Amino acid sequence: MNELCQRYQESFGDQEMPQELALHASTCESCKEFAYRQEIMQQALPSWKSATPSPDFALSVMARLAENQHRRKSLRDLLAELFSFRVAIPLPVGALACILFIISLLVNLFFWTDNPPGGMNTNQAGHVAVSPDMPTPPTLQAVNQNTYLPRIWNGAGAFLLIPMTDLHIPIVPLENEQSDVSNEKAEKI
Amino acid sequence: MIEDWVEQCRNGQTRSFALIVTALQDKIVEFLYRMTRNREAAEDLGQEVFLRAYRLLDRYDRKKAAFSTWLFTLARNLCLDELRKKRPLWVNLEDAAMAETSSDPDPHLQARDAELEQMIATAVATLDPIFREVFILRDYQHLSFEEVAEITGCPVGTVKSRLHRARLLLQDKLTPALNA
Ligand SMILES: [Zn+2]
Repeated sequence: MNELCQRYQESFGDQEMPQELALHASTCESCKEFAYRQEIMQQALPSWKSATPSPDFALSVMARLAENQHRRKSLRDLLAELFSFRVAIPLPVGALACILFIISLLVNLFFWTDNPPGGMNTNQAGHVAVSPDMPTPPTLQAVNQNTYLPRIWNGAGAFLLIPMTDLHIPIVPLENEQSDVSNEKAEKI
Repeated sequence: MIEDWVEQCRNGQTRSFALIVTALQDKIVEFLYRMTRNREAAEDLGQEVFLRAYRLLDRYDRKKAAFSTWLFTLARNLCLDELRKKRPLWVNLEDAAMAETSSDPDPHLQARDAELEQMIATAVATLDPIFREVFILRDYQHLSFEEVAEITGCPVGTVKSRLHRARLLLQDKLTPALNA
């Protein structure tokens, strides 16, 4: 199959087939054979009858749509009710609070000592030990490792607080931004 | 006209969507049926296509494609996803009901029609989905190469070569029986 054959057969049935391809097909045995077989097939294709949608197809779609919208509206109303009261923190105060909090956490993270001065015995690594001469028992090693966990949680908490500086969280209900629910209630009243 | 209904839907007139569904349901369900060969699946997927279309209506850009083309794209993507998941189920080919759909009063012709229908449906079902979709969109839905390219997300050249491949495969399967 040469390039013209390929182009003709790929464009078969196209209304805008170039003249040169049509001319080629009239002289090419391979393309004639393809066209013949294709004609037979095209005639047979309508035998495969299609499925039609059930009579209530559109109704079902619209019913499901209404159901989805109702569900979404219920969720939105619920969220609106939950967040109808917000706490107002001015942005600079919130930012300052977060910065102080983060600094305190960083100080906490780098200068935290596990053992109070003059308290428990520690070995050279600073770990709690039964006696300075004895190695740290496995159970106490676990305790020492666990002290890192709260530090990590504190750090994560600080990061979670950062977005709060961007929120205006009023303590009183907002008058201008009433939820759909409160609008509906107002209309009923 | 459909584009106007789409605008109305975007402006909150949900009822206009019913007009869109009514106008395009036949095409979409037919496409899905020919892809899956399963009436129930075609109907279910068809509903899902329209629900998804409503949800994503804001993403539709009328400058890029006709609404029906966009809808076919959704149908095609959903169908391919489902075919990947449920293929073994759907390959268990339907349809005993096919024989009952023949309207020919002659029982012999009726049987022959049913046999022919079964033969074509089976041959199309054996095509890989990427060839099948192109064949169905072009030879059954009579869409242009450009529309098929838009729906499948392939260049026109790829669509043409896939269609050619699909036709050759079907010719090999069907021509001997059709000639006989
Ligand atoms: Zn040729």
